[in-house]
Amino acid sequence: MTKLANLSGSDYFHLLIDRKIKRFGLAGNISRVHLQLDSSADLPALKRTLRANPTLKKAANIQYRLSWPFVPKWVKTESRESRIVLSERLTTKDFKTQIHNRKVDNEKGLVCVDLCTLQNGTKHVVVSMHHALFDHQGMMNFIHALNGNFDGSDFARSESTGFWKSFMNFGAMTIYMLNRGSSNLGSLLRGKQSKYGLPRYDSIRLSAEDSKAIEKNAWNAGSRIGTSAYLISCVARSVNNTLKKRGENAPYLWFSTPHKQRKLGTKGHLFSNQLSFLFFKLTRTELNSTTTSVESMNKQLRVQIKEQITEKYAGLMDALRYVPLFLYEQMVNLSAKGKLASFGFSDLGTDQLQLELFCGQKVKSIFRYPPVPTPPGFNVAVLRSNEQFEFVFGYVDEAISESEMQQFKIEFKDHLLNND
Amino acid sequence: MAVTKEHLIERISDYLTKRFLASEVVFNPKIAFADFGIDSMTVVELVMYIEEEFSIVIPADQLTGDNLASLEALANCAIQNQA
Repeated sequence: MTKLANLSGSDYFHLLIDRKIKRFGLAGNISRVHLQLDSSADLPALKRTLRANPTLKKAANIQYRLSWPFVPKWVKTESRESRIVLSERLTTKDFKTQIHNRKVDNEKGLVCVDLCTLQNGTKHVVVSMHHALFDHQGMMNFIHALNGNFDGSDFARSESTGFWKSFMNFGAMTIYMLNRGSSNLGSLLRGKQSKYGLPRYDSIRLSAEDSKAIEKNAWNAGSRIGTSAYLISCVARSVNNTLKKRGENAPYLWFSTPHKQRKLGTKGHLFSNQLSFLFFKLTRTELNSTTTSVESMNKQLRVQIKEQITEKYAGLMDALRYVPLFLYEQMVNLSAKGKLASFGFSDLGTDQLQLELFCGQKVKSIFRYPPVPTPPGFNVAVLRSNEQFEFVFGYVDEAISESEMQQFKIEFKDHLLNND
Repeated sequence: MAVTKEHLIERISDYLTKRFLASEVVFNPKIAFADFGIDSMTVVELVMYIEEEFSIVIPADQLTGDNLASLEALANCAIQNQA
């Protein structure tokens, strides 16, 4: 086995999340990109093309190696076949079950491509990618690389943090997290079941006119320099309403949002995560209006930038690579008593996947299935394409039922468009 | 002492290049931040950097898309708010 690179702190953190998700019987910390192809697509020919694809081959041969007390490493295995599964005559239900159950792991490979023809004649490609190997930008790069349109490097140049700096970050962030996390946070996840059902996905795509109105509302609510604070506030308020309808009056909601740490100005590398997190807490009073929650988030953001929380947290995650996963899990459970967050939120920025062709086959539409970290079992991702907002909701039934989800979507849209 | 626009641009370019941009990127203050992949979070950091380093506070109602489109636009806005 040849060493390729060290796992970054965020790669290792995503392995931890994977471990937690799998405990509930779910496939893992996996992101999927689903391309519906034109009905004329030739899937056996696509399978042959993909089998010879050098990027897919490269990814198929990457494994992580945990070798405590040393830092975990990405290694190249002896030549392993690319995982491409061709399925025919699937019902829509079987297709969903197959896709959301598709595991990608160290043993079989951290990437898998499903090529499916459904009974209704539609043709689909689903690329499943393990989140420990790819961050969001890496996933986008990977899809473009499969298509032959990527000329960046495989891994990022590693920048190591000195021992004392790592030690100081570890201390500062441990205190920060222990002070903020508690079991009182509002959580959608019900009960303590040992197994959860398959994740479900839902989405809202807003018109250009509505998207413009949202940007205006965000400004009026005090969301400056981007709309993220406004969008998150609308999610948080809708989560809070769902809890209230269940008769739960949570003292506060607590959540983190990923913050990319990649160097800007290039597409960068393919493999390995470079990200950190920002943390927010919204109290019951702050959740009363969008303006008050945006104001609170603005303040918290400024404090975190000033205190360099994202850098310190990245440093903490780097330091935790030296801790075995089982112990790491215990430490994380201790800080928030197993609840971790009220919900997940990712702002994916501008849509980078506007493909007309995928490996020579015509693309009709593209869907994204982001991972559903469980807990909290409810994750919202937003992206913008053609000046329109698109929200993707990933959830497990044990966090929010299908009927609650329909109500959630109505209320969420109402918050977005009315800034109440 | 008042800061010149040129000095402001030079210092912020330096900060941006060292802290956020990939080493191979040649930064141009006239080109839109978005073209360098500079996102809203990074722009917040730049606004805070201007506050800390130059004691120039840009009022919230001036943090518009136009004023934050490029470093040149941001520097123009900052200079106008210099005490």
